[in-house]
Amino acid sequence: MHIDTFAYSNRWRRVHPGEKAIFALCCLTAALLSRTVLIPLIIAALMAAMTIMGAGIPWRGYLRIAILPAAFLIWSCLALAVSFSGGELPLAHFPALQLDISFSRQGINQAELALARSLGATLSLLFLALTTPMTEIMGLLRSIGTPKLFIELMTITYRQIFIFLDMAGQIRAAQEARLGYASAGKAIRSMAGMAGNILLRTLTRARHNHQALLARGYGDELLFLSPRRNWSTPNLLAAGSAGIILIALALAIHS
Amino acid sequence: MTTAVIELQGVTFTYPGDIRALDNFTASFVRGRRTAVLGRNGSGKTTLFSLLNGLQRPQSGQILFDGRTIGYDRQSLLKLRQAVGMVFQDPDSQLFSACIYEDISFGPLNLGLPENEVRTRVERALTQMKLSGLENRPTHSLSFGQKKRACIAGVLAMQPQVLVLDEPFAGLDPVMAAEFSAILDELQRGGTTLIIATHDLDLAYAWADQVIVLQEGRLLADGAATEALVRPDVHAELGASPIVAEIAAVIALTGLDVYANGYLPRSRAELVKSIAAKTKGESTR
Repeated sequence: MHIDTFAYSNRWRRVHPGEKAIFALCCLTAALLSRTVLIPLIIAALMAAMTIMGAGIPWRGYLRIAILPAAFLIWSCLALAVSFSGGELPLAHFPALQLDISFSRQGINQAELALARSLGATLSLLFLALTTPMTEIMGLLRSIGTPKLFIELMTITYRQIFIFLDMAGQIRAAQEARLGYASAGKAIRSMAGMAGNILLRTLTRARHNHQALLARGYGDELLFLSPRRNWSTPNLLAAGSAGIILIALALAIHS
Repeated sequence: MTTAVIELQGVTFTYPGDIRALDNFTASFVRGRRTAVLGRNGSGKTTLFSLLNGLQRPQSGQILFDGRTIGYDRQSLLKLRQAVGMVFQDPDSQLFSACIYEDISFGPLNLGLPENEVRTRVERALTQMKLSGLENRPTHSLSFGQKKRACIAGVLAMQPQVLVLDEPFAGLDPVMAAEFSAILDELQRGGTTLIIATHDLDLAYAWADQVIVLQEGRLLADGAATEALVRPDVHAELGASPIVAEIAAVIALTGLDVYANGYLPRSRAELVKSIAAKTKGESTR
């Protein structure tokens, strides 16, 4: 939920979401297209710098959010580097099991590249996620012609997440106040109770929501307009050209 | 002269399972007035409200809007829902988008208005409800009062003639309630008919011109707030009388005439003023 808070309160909140999206997507493309470690790492550094120094996201918060995908990446790249069929750098040997574990040069190279690329791509997306509120991203998706059903589902789901969390929090507090989580057994029983209760409440809520939509003339389509945003030509030029240069560099530099 | 904007004639509504929510119910709401609907839980208030805006259809009897029986085809319903705006008690069940601008634009778009007109109306509703500057904040970060105002803005943007509000003051602190009351006053000055459901007798006494009291799906009382709410049978049904009326009656027994010149104090402030004026008059005599 920190992501959401940052998205609404960063310095670049007022920048047109399209400009941020173009930049992030160009960087993402460049990171994925590059054949060397250098470009994706530059992109990762650039994105981190822009998110922290440009948009003003506190570095601690940034690190906390970025650490999760990064840890995941490192683990999976380790798996990529490890070989079971005689690599150049032996790690362990189990004669009884006829098992050789080693690093192979090729594997390491592959892992390095995969790590760099994914890091660049992840941080590009994180830049967009941390600087642009969900509603604006949805508005953007809508304006490029994403099917309406998707947008409607996203809009309603996103809103309901917070209502749901609120509801769950209240029930949990009420249970905790009556020692519902005092032991492991009780905790499981309380959780089960909460799940059942939430299901029932969700069904009632869905009925109420539907009634409220009908009361305002809901047909079979969720119609709404997003607030107007003005494009800024300098921003657009900067985002576009920086993105294209990075893509060009990614394509040009190899080995 | 008073004309009814909405009239219910012998309306009966039964929920599946033979639960009778309204039983041969007849009442009318006067144009431009403030009406408070009172009744105990389960007396049929919610059902009554959902009938006013065509969300439910009565099994028998008829409902008239502007003198004409309402229809239940798509076009008629759209027209009725434009004219009779409905504000629900829980703002979270009404606001469907995390962006209140989007939410407010929903109603007018359903009326088939062009984009520019919709945007103008959204802006106006935001200003009217004192929400300007909040349209870029996510709904879940707004206060309860702000969400409540956003709900009303979403209905106002449809420019209804009648505004139906379910428990509009519930959950508001006294300061927010006063602000909210001022907003309703302004709407009424603009010609909007206001109908609220409430459990707050004192509020109904001070606020409403007309009250309708329900008892188990039937009409118990319909009349001026100052008369209907002090009736013994209404007191017996609702379990209380407005405190201002009770105090004024007790004071009147002491000989201090707080009702002088046909002036009827309806709120605490008015009662205090009236007593102060009277006692001052007594002491200077």
